[in-house]
Amino acid sequence: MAINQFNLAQYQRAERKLLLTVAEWVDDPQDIYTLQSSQPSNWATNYTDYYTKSGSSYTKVPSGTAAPTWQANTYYTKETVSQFRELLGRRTEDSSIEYNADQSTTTDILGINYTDVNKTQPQQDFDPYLVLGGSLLGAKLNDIRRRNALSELSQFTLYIITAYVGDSTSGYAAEKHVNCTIQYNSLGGDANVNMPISVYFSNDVTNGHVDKLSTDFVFTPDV
Amino acid sequence: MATVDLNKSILDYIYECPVVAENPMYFCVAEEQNNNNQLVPMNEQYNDAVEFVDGTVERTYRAEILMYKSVAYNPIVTEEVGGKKIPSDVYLNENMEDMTDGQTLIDWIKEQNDNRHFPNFGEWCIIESVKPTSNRLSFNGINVELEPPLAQYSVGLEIKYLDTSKQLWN
Repeated sequence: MAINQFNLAQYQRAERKLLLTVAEWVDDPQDIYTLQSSQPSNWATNYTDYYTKSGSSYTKVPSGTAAPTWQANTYYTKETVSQFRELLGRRTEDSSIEYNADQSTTTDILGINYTDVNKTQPQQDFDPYLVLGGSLLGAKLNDIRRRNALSELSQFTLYIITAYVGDSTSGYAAEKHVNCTIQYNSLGGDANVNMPISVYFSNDVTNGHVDKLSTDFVFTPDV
Repeated sequence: MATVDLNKSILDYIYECPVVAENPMYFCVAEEQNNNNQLVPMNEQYNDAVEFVDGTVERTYRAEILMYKSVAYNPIVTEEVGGKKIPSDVYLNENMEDMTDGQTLIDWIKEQNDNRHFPNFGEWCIIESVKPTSNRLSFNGINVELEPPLAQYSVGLEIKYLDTSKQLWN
């Protein structure tokens, strides 16, 4: 299979945001409310499908003679889902995938070195990983932490999406690792509550691509 | 992408404060007259921006609100009450009252922040905090060439917000 070239101009550096790590997990069905930042195309006719938030409760927009005046970051959509995804790295300034390669080097009697890479154990740390409103993964990890249900930390699927390979038409190159572990390392901090996490990729990997860069992407394995 | 004039948003916002709304407000340049107020935005250094791995950027909007007040040269006369000297109610001068106006604005900003009532920076910005840069009003000096002489006070304003316009992930 031909190697796909980077979708960058000659010598253009890839911005950090083009490398994405996304966590996926399955849980009991939950109602997920998503805040809408831009006006949906069906707002004028389907405004009663949207919700407003007061405190921690959500209320449907009541029907009236016409749709209320649209206001950004005010209305929510509701979706009942059991599979969840979240992009990692909100409010994290610096994070790299460390491959932690195990290697051995031997030198023959002529002084020539032979280096073997025996295995890699990829890992990525996110520090800070702040407790943020609306973070489903943060709430999931906090629930696991409270119950000390450590085995549940190893039931995540992780995607590494390299958005500097591919495009919005043919999709972006991605790797899907199943049965990965996400570990919380500490809880606390100074001004804001921080729960730094480490994610451990399983290397049980399927290469493929994702059709778009949003939570509802479809992963298609390479043939 | 619809953009929002941040300066206008700030003006709309601080005009909700009663002690600001009852007096003329100027932007950048003001006529120095008693009770005039002036909003002066400060520049944002590139170094102030914090970039995150998801493409969002934390930015800071800083501004100063200048307040012009006529000054009084009345002394704070003390009177004896029960053998102790205390400031007289009669001669509590307007300088102290002017300071109270500014302090009211500072307290109002803090209260809005506590209630998470923020200016509207548009759909791509998430405001995190709106705070005065100090707990007390600053007295910057007096322009004695004016008649009456005017004192200038200032309140610093700092708004932290997350600019999400460059993130890839939706």
